[in-house]
Amino acid sequence: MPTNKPIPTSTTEYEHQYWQRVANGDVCIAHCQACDHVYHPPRRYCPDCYSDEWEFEPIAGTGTVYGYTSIHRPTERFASDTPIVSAIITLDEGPRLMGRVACDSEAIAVGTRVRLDTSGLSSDNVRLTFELLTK
Amino acid sequence: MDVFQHVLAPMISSNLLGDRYRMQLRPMKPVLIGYGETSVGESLNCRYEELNMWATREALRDVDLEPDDIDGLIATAPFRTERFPLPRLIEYLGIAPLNFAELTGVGGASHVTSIHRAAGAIENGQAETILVVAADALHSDIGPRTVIEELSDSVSEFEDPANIVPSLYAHVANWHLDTFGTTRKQLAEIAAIAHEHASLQRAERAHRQEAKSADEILDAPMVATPLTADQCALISDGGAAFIVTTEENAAELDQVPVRLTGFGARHTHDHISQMPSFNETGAIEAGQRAMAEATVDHADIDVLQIYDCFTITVLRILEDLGFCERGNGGDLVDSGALRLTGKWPLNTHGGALAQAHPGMPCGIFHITEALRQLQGRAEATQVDNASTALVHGNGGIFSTQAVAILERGECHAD
Repeated sequence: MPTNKPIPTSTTEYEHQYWQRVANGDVCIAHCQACDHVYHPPRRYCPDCYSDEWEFEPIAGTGTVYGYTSIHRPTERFASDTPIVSAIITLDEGPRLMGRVACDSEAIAVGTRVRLDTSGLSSDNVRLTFELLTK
Repeated sequence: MDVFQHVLAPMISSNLLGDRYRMQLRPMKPVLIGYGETSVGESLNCRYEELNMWATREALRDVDLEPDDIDGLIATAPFRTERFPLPRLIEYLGIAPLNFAELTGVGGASHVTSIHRAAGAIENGQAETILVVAADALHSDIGPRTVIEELSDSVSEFEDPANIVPSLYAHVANWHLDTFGTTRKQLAEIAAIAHEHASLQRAERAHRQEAKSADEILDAPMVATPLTADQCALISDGGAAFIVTTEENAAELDQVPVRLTGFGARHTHDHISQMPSFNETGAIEAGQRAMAEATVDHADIDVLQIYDCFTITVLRILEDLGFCERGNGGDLVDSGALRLTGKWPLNTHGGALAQAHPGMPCGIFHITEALRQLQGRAEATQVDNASTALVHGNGGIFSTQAVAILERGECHAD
């Protein structure tokens, strides 16, 4: 039975490396050294130029909400977390990724600025969680 | 020396090469002809193979064909993928041997794509009469809760696995609401139209047969904001089949032939977070290509069959197909144009929101409904003089898009 907050059982070493870094609070993004493409999710070959010469680089952790929803009826194993505010965030580095936002459902909108909060990340919790970036 | 005139033509005329080669030297024009549907609902107590056979039986009976008349198959794998569903079905349906067999693979865009694949195989002379079938027992064999759990388990680890399919679409819904001022009620109105059209179907043809107002749809339990349960596809048992054959063969059959006059497809992403823009799906290019090939304009479309796994899917696609300006989907819904009496009657069977959603086979009902309309057999939801239908399919999370233009042909049979 899957637990609530596992390190994903990734199938490739690169994906596993990614989640290990997340567990250590070192959230990274793939940056191709051959063609300069910055992409997510990570994979063995750059999806733009197919080079395997890419590096994980730390992200600033700031970004802007693109899409969002408040999940009221997730699957059984996440039922205790509801409502879950899930967002698709455009990182300031360019790529988008999905994370949760620790805020009230009504406090989020397209364009809301958020910042990654790495304080809760551990091998038991690799869910990227953002907080509202208030001016 | 002209090889055709001096060598091949005499052989053909003397039938030295047999019927088979004579057939293949002349390009065949494909048409859609018969169709069949199972009942739909929650407890048909049929397995995948049985439902596929049921749908096939109805399609064969519709045009008085025998299983042996089929020489090609396009089928859809069951929700729980078997290792080799295709040979299994070929044997089970009693249609072996076949010249052509394919399994679909672009989710809800599969069935619209299948029309094009079948037509191409007939034009190429690979097969003459192709069965396209899709059916599954999503509700009674697997169960709604399990379906939701298993679909959620398949969400990438790079997208929060707390997401279920509705919540992945909900990200785009909120984007549309925030960006254009679309209202939750306008979204709900799309489900109200679906429920009204489903309520007009025969009981065995609609999983849900009750009309509902937009307010009632908004009052349903919230799944993922802004999508309430009534704005999410049903989970049903059922399926359908249709037959694509040559124009020549169709002339012998007692149904109105329907021609595929335009087709387009466009596939863009897997993760919803990697969708290039929430303001554009591949349906833009797919639709433009299909309509250009068919040389039709929006005003020519009599019936709209848009894949409706969620209300936001319909809103997004209507804009992408150019039925209104970008951002004005809500106003189009409010205008009444999508109702039965409107300019572009939408999903006149009730769609995945209210008629049936048996998983992978969902999109095939949009096609059989288009055939019903174009053949003048749509009973209570018949659109007057329907001669051109646009059928759309969407798979994944706005990932795969396909659009077909279908037009009513001339009936040759007495």
